[in-house]
Amino acid sequence: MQERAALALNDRAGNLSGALPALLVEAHRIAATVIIGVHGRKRSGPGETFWQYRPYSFGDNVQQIDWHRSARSDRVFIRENEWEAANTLWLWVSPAVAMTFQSHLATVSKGERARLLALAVASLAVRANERVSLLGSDLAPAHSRPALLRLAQTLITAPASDTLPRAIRLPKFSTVLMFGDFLEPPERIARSLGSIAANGVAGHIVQVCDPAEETLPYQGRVQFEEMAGPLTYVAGKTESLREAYQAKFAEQRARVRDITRRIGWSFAVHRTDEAPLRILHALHGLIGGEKSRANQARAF
Amino acid sequence: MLQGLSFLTPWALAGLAALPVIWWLLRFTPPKPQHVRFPPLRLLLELVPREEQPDKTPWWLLLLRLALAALLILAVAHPLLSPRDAARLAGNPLLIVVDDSWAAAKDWDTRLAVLQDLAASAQQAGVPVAVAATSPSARPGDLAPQAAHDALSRLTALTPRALQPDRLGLLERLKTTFTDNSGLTVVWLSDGLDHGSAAAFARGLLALNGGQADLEVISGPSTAIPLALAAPEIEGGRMKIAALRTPSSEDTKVVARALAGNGRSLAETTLALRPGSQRAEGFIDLPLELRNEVERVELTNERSAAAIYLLDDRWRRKTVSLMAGSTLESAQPLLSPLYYVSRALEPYTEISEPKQASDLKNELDAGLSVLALADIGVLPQDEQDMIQGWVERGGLLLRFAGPRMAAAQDPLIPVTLREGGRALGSALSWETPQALQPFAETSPFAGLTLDTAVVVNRQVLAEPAADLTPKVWASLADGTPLVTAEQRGKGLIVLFHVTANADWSNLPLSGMFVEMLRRILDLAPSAGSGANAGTQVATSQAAFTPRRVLTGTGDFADPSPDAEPIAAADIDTAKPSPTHPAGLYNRGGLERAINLTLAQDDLKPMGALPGGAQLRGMERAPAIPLAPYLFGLAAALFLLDCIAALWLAGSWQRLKTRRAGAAIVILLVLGAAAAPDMARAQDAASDQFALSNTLQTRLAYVETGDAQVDETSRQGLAGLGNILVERTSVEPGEPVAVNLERDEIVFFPLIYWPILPDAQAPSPAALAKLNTYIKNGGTIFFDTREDGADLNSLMGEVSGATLALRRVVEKLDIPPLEPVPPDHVLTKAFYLLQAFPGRYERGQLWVESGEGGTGSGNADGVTSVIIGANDYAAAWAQDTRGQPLYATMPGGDRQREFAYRTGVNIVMYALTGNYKADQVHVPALLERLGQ
Repeated sequence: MQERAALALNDRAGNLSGALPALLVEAHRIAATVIIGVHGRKRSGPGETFWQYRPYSFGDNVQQIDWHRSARSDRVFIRENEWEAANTLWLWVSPAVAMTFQSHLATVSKGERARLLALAVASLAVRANERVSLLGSDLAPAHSRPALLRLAQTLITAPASDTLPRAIRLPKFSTVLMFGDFLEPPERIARSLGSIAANGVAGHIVQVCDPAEETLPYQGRVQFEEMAGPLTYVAGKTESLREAYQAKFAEQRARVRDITRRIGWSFAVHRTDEAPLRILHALHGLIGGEKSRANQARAF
Repeated sequence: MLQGLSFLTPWALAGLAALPVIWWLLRFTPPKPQHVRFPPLRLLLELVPREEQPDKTPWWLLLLRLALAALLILAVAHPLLSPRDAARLAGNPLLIVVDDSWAAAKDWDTRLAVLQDLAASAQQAGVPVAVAATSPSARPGDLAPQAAHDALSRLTALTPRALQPDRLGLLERLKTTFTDNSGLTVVWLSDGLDHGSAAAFARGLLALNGGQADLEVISGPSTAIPLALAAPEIEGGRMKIAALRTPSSEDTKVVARALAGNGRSLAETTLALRPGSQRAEGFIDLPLELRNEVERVELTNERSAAAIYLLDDRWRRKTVSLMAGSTLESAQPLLSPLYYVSRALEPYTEISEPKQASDLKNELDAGLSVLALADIGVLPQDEQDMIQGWVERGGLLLRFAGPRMAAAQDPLIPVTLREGGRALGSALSWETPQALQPFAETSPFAGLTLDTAVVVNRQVLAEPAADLTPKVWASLADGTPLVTAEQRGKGLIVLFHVTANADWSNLPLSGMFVEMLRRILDLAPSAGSGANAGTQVATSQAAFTPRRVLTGTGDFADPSPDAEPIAAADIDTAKPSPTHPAGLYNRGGLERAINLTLAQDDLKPMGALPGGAQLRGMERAPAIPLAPYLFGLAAALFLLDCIAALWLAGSWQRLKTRRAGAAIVILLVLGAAAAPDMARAQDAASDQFALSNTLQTRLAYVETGDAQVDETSRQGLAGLGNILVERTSVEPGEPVAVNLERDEIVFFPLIYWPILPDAQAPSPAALAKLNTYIKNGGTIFFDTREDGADLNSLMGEVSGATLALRRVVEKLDIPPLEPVPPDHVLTKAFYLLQAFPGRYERGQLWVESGEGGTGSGNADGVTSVIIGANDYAAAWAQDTRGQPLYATMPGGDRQREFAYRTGVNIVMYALTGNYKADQVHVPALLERLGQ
C-alpha cells in the first residue's frame, strides 16, 4: 500500500518535473569534489569517457599509455579521459505534526505539498544525474530511478519527529534543500541551520505555509488548539486579532529570512493554495544557478 | 383573582422548574466556540489579547430574558381567568342536562358557550362532570361523571337533533346512575318548552341522589322560543302554510318560502302573527308544474328542523295509467280514444299505458294515482277485483263513456246507467246538442270558467236515483249529469258521460277539459301511496332507506349509522326517532319525507318549576383566556431584548450613523408597499405576467366583473389545483384571473369562463385573441352556472345564461358541438366517467363533435370549447382548510367526488390531448411489435 502511494507520489513528482529542462548544478562550485559523476568538465581528469590522446612526456603514469594508439606510430601516446563529477542534493522535508495542517482554504496539507515539491526536485536532479539523498536518513546518495522510489517511500513513511534536523556533517559542496513551515522559535532555527551550513554547504529554505496561517481567516469565537500538544487558546473575537497576528506572522518570516541570509542560503515561500509548478521553477533557477543571489532575494 | 385562574394544560407549568437552568445557561455559557487546530498557535499566544470580551450578561438583561421564558411557559399552560362559578361548584359532582332538541337549535352557539363556561368552571373547581342530553338516542351515552376536560369535549360534540326531547326517559336512566346520598349539582339547560314534562322532570332531577341535588335551570326568555311550521295543506289548488308559536303578545311577521330542489326560492308569503294568536296562515299560489318542483317549505331566519317541511312524492308526483277498450288507431292519433286525455295530463303527471293485465297489476301495486279507462264497458273479472281493491285503498278511477259502456257496464261506475245512451241533435232527434250548465258550488270544478262553445252530442244517461244529486259534479244545461263521481272506500270513481275523444262532444277539444282533469288530479292520491298498505310485503328490499337527514338546525346531512330503513308499510305512520331521523327516504324511485311536524300543543312554554329549582337566564360567564396576552407580552419583551442586544454589541451607534440611509430605505419600502401600482411599468408588468404564467402551468378564469363569481372561480380552480396535486402529476400554480381585453391568454392550457346572464360579447380585439387562442390549441371551458331545472327551462324557454353564452360565442369560430359521447376522451382522460356533475348534476357537457374526441378541433384533437352548465367552480371551491364551500345539489359526497373527477379529467384532457384516445391502438402496436 505504501509502496503504491510512493509510486504515485513519484509519478506525480515526475510529471511535475518533466515540464522543466534537466537540472544542471553549477559545475564550477563542485570542481574539487571527489565523487565522480557524468558531468564533463571539458578538461582531462579522472573520468571514464575518452577525452584526448597526448604524447607521453616525462613523469606521466606509464599505465596511462594507450598501446593501441602508440602501436600505430612511433611515438608513445597517453590516453586521457574527461574529468567528470556529480553534486549531491540533500533534501529535507519537515516531518512535524504541524505539517499535516490543512485549512478550509487549501486543497492539500502542507506536508503533502512539501513532499511533492521535494520529490519533484529530486526527480529533476536524478534526470540531471545528480545524486540525491534525504537529510537525516540512511539512504546513500544515488542518481537512479529506483533510488528515487526509495526516497519517495522514505518520505511517506517518515515518522513524525523533531521539527528540525539535528546537526549533521555533510560533505563539502553539497546542496541542502529544506521544506518546512519554520514556525519554530527563530533561535532554534538559527541553531539548526547554522550547524548544517557550518562547512560551506549551500542551502535553500522553502517555507510551506497554509493560507490560513498567513491570514487567520476565522470569525467569532474560536478555540485554537496545538497540533500535537495540550495548548489551547480561546479567542473571543478572532477578527479583532487578525491584524496583530498577521504582523506577528510577517515578523517570524522576516526573522527566518534573516537567518538564511546570514548563512548565505536562499529563502522562498510557498503557499499551499498556489500552484506547485511556480515554486518549482523558482527552485530550478536557484539550484541551477541561473539567477544571481540578488535576484533570488528579490524574487521572494 | 387567583382563584379564578386555571390552566388548560397545567403540566406545561413544569417548565417553570427549568427557569434556574435557563438562568444558569444565560449567565455562564458563552456561545460554543469553533474548534480549530492551528499550527502557529505559538504566535497567537504571544499576542497580548487586546480586547476582553464581556462574558457576563448585565443583570437586567438576564432578568428580561428570564421574564420572557417565564411568560412563554405560562402562556403555553393556557391560563383561563373566569370570574365566578368555580367556587360555587366546588365539592359536589356536576350533572349537566342539555335539551338538545330542535327548539335549542336557533341559539345553539350561545347555549354551547354557556355550557363550555360551565365546564371550564367545573374544571377549575376540580369536580367531575356528567353530561346528559334529553333527546332520545339510539346509542345512549355514559352518564357517569368524568373528568371536566373530557366532559368539555363531549359538550362540544353535542349538536341539536331534529327530535322532540324525551326528558322522562332520561330521568329514568339518571335515577339508576345517581343513587348515592352525596351532594350533586344539577344544571339543566332547557330549551324553554314544556313538552308536557318540564315540571315532572325538574322534580325528578331534584330527587336525584336521595334528594341531595341542587337544581339550576338555565332558560332563555320565552320570546326566544323558535317558530315552528305546521304541515302544509293543499287548499283550492294553493298551498296553505301555517306558522306556530308559543303564546305571545308580540306582533311578528315571518316569511315562509317554497324552495326548489336546487335551493332556489320559488315563492314566498308573509305570515303575520297577531298579538295573542299562536298561529298564522298564508297561501302560496304556484302553477302546478312549479308546485311540483317545490321540495321544501321553510320559515326564513328560523334555524331549526321544525321550521322546515320537506315535501315528497306525495306532494307532487302522480302517475296515471291509460287503458282503452278499442285497439289503438296509431295511424290516426286524433281519433285515438285516449289522445286528448294523455295530452291534457302529460305536463303534470307520469303517464303509462299498460299493455297487459300483469303490467296493470304491477302498477296498481306500486301505488298508481289515477287509472283512466276510456270506453271500457265490462272489465274481466280478475282485473275488476284488482281495480276495486285499489280504489278502496285510495286510488282514483277515471272512466270515460263510449259505445261499449253504453252497451254494458261493470260495477265500477259511480251511478247506474241506462242501457243505450242518448243522442242529441242527430238526424232522428228533436233535441239539440246541449251546452253545460255552470258548475255547482259543491262540485270540485267550482270556479272554473264555463266554455260556452262546448256542446255534447251524445252521452250515457244516469238512472235517476235518490242519491244521484250529490254524485253529480257537472251537468248539461238540461240537468242530465255529465260528470259523476262516487266515493268507494278511500278511493274515488269518476265517470265522464261522454267519450274521451271528440266523437260524442267537443269537450275534449276545449281548454276547460284540461282544467277539469287537473281538478280531478288534485284529488288523486300521490304516487306510491294508494296501494302501499296490504299489498306490499315489508321486506328490507321494500323498505325506505334514509338518503338525507335533517339536523336540528334544519340543514341536510348524510344519514348517521344509527339511521335505519323504514318498512314500506310503516312509512305513512313513521315519526322522527333516533333510528328514523327526520329527512328524506328513498325506495327505488319513490321518495318520502319524514318531517318533524309539530302541533300547537308542542309549543307550550315551560310551566312553573318546583320550589327547589333556581331559574336563571342564559347569560354567559365566560372564562377569559390569558394566553394571547401572555404571548403578546412575550413578543414585546423579545423586541426589547433585541434592542438591548444591539445596544450592548455597540451596533446601536453604527445604526445611528446609518440612520439617514436606513430611513430612506424604509421610506422607499413603505412607499413601494403603499403604492405598488405607481412603480409598475406597463411592459414590466406584462413581462412579469408572461413569466409567471409560463414558468408554471396555471389554470385561468375569465373575470366576469362580478366579485362573488370571480372569487368563486378563483377558489374553485384553486381547489381543483389541490385535487390535481394530490391525485395526479399535474401541479398547477395559483389560478390566474384574466381580463380578455387586457391580458395575453396564450399561456394557459385551459381557461374557465363562467357566463353570467348579463354577459356581453367581448370586443373585436378580444374575439380575435380568442380565435387565435382556439386555433393554436387552447381550450375554453364555458360554464353557464345553472341547474337544468331553471325556471325558464321549465317554461320551455332559454335561460339568461344560455342567451348570454350565445351572445359571447356568436362571433367565435367554433365547430359543431355535441353532448360528450360515451367514448369521448373526456370520459377516460384520468378517471372513467360517464356523467359530469358539478354543483348541479343535470346539466349536459358539450364538446366539439368528431370521432371519439379527435374531432376537427385543433392539431391535437382537443376540443376547443367545452360547454357545461353545472357551476363547476362552485363544486370545486374549497376554503383554506380544504373544506368545500358550496353545497352540491341534490348533494352528497359522491356528487362532490365526481365533480372533482370531472375537473381532473378536463384538465388532463386539456393538457394531454388525445393521448388516451391513442391508447386504443396499443394492443395493435404491441401485436405488430411481436409482443
